[in-house]
Amino acid sequence: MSKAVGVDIGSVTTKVLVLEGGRVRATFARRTGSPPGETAAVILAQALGSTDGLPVVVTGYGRVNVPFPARDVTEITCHARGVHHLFPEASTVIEVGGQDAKVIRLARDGRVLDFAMNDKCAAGTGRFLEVMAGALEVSLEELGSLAAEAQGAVEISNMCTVFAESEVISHLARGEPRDRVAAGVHLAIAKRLSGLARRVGLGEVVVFTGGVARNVGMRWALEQVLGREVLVPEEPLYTGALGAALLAAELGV
Amino acid sequence: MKVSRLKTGQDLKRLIAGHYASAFRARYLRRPVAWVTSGAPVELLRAMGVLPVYPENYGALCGARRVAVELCEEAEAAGYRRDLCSYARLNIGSMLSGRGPLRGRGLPKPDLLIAVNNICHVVVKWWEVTARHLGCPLYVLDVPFVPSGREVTAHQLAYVREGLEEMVEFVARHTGRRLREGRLRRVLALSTEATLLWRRIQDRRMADPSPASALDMFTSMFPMVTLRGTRACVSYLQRLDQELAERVAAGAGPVPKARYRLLWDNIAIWFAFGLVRYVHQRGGVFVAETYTHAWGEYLYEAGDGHPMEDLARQYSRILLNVGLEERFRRMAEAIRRYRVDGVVFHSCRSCKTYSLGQLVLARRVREELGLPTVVIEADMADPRNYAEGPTRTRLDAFFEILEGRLDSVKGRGS
Repeated sequence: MSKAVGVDIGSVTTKVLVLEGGRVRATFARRTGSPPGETAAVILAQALGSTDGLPVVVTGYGRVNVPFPARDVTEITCHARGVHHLFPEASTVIEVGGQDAKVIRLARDGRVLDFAMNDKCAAGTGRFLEVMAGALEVSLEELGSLAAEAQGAVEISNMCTVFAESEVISHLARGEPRDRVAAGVHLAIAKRLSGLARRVGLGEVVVFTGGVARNVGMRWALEQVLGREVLVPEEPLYTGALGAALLAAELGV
Repeated sequence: MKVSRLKTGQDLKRLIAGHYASAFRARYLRRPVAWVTSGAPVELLRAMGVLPVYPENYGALCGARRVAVELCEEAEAAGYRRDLCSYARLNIGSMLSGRGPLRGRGLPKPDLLIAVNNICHVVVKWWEVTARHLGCPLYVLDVPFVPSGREVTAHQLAYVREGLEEMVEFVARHTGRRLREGRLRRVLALSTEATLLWRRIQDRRMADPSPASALDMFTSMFPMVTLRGTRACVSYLQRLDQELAERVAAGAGPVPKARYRLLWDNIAIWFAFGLVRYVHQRGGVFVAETYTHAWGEYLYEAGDGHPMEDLARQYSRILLNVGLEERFRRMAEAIRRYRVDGVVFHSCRSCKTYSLGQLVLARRVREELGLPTVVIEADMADPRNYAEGPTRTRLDAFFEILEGRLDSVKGRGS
């Protein structure tokens, strides 16, 4: 059966997905490190030996100048393609990764109509959550479930990561319970994402992907703020790599 | 045939050098110098023998020569916030430190200051600061905003006209120079001639391949801004027009096999012309810019018209002083005339007047005209408000959207 490979080099994690006969045969995820393409090259060598003759599409912030033959496509197009494959009826994609967040508006046939990305700043991304988890002294997973189960939420008004961290610390110092603070952190990000989503227009079916979509608190907060159900793929981390692999199979590159 | 630099670029260099040289020399020639905003009725000053100097143009120059940051930091150290317009900050920084890219010092000191609020309201405070610092007389001309769906009213015309007359008195009082109507009419005729030439130059870009892209036009607009109303401006534009006509005849342009004809909205990013070259590499060419088109609006009635009323009308209707509806109308017209495939919006951190409303314009371009758009976030002069990587990613995604459209169009055709 014919294989196709999708590589998604994110700022934090490098994801590789291998398609065979249209089915997902293998997935790999490792910390990206430096230089960005190196981890991907190592994974490919270990998993496939050689990618000679295999169609490979590489996406993500590290997509340019990788040390293996591949065609590069932006993460916007790849996430759109991956989400459309998993949820053909999807009209809005919210993708949050390590250091960026984006909202993509899809046409009925899955084409990208428009997109909006966060400013040159880590606020509202995975890094932001990592810092807040540090301030609350919980793991990332715990941070999400704390938020989803919280009774009420505090208001986090600063969207600068550094200032928001001190805001979190002062809330804790005032004796606010950690779950209410965690909920506040997630709602603050959700509000920011909702602003991005409104820029491109919020569609009927919203899909949430990227590494941060594994966080249950984030899904809860988005549903709160957007006022509708938010779908999450089974393995949201790999949506970009899936889209890249699908494009590789289609384009035969 | 691929061509890179305009031959008239040499003329342009001489004009720019000459403009600033005459400003530095003005003191010895006893010619008064006025620092003016880009929307100032410069024809009146030219007719009165006052040499206009444009701090905004100086800002573009500092941006292109990559000295904006150090000058901005001077202003920031003096307490001006980074949210303030970078042109304002770098000019204030240059004024406070006496440093700058020309002759190692700041702009030549003005004898008077003229600010007009038809481009933005920051200029009013910026000019007030300048007046206070230099102890220089300031005139602020108030030109009310012209809201959507409304022409310039008779009341506004009368009001702005009165302001213009007051401005003439102000200039006369501080320079001892009188406004002579014959000379004003000659200057207005030269402005009109330049404007008509500028429009003809722009229209040469309807050709495929386009004989010029944004890089050529962002620089070539310099005389339209700073030398409007002079013979030198007209003869430069004649040569530029000639060169573009030759390029069209030869089928030559900066991107001979461009696949996408694009429109640029907002001020140039003066320190990142590489971005425009990147667009060229991806198969795009800019065939129009709202920014360069904005200088094609200065038409005055020849002969019997009332010059002051004419000036009042034209300076009321400039791009940043009209409602969004009118801005969309002008943009849609350019899209149609220049057969544009997509629009790049530069959301400029400094220029709130220009950037506010871009999301509405972008949505209307997508929904009513069916063209893809992209918004990139940057600044015209301060590179600290710009990130190369994410900007390229946005442009890449924009090209993927354009390519997808092209494929689907081809697919339907076959």
